[in-house]
Amino acid sequence: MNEQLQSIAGLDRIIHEPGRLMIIAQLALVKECDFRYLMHETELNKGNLSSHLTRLEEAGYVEIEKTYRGKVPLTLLRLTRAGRTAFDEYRKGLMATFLRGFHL
Amino acid sequence: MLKIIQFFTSIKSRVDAARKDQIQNIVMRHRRYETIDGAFEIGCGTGCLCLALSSYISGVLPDSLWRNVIGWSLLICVLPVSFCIYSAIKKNITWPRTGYVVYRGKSSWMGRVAGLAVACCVAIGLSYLMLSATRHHGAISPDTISPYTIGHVPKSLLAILGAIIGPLYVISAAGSGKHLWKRLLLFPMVMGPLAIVHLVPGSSSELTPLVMSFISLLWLISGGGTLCLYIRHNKLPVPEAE
Repeated sequence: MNEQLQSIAGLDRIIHEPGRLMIIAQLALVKECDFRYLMHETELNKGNLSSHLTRLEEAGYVEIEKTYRGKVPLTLLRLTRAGRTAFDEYRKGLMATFLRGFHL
Repeated sequence: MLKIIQFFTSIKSRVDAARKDQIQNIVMRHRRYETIDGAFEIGCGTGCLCLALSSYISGVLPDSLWRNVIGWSLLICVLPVSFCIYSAIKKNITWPRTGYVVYRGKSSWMGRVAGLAVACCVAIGLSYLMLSATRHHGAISPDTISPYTIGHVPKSLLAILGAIIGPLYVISAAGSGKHLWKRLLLFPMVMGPLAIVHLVPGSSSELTPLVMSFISLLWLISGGGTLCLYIRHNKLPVPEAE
């Protein structure tokens, strides 16, 4: 297989999905945020966001903490060390693929 | 003439391109979210109002222990009151509507300490300059330092107060790129104190509360307008049924 195509195939599929990429890119900028903030910024609906977050949590990329502020439930989200490393590698992989340039 | 127009057009197109750049958008996100509700501006406006009140009360009340107590109390309250108002808006209005977020600190602790040291040096230097200028004008004797003497700044300094605060306003509020109408407030903020000092008769101690109130009014108008627009565009979510 072509080296360039191989590098595309090597991209992390969990991060590569657009919805999850939005979430990871957003979480990479922040120390922590709540569910509502992520919903507001990504404009994903509650169900979509929840399922993407569950997938990211299963992969060990996102830490989800369910807590309360007063009597109001609060879901805090953070990117784990593994998530940050995976995102960095994904970015580097993507950059390396496209910086080589495709010759059509 | 044509070259000058071309030069300005090229600058404008570069600025527009930078503004539209998606990466720049992500970098600016922190500032945009911080200023989305006008909490910072309302906090700053309240702080300026405390300073104006302190200066006014110190000027109006006769020289006594109470004058100093009230004046100093108001001066000491500037930062806590501003911070409390800022936190209250974030906690009760912003977080329930568009969510809670803590951004990653970009500077290291060494950078923060260095920044704090530089800020302290600048503050001490400015205070020394102000006090020396005030003593030079014969406003106070070297032995007396009270809120009244702090509020008694020379007219020249009062006139350029807007020009000093203006850049802070641009960076914090008008520079976020969200509300373009805020840039209009920069003109009265810079020119207002200059006009007050030149047009209103009175000593600098009489004009200080007026200038401070004017600046705080502009901060509050800007912050209040932003908060109203924010509340209008972001309704409080309906709580889900159990």
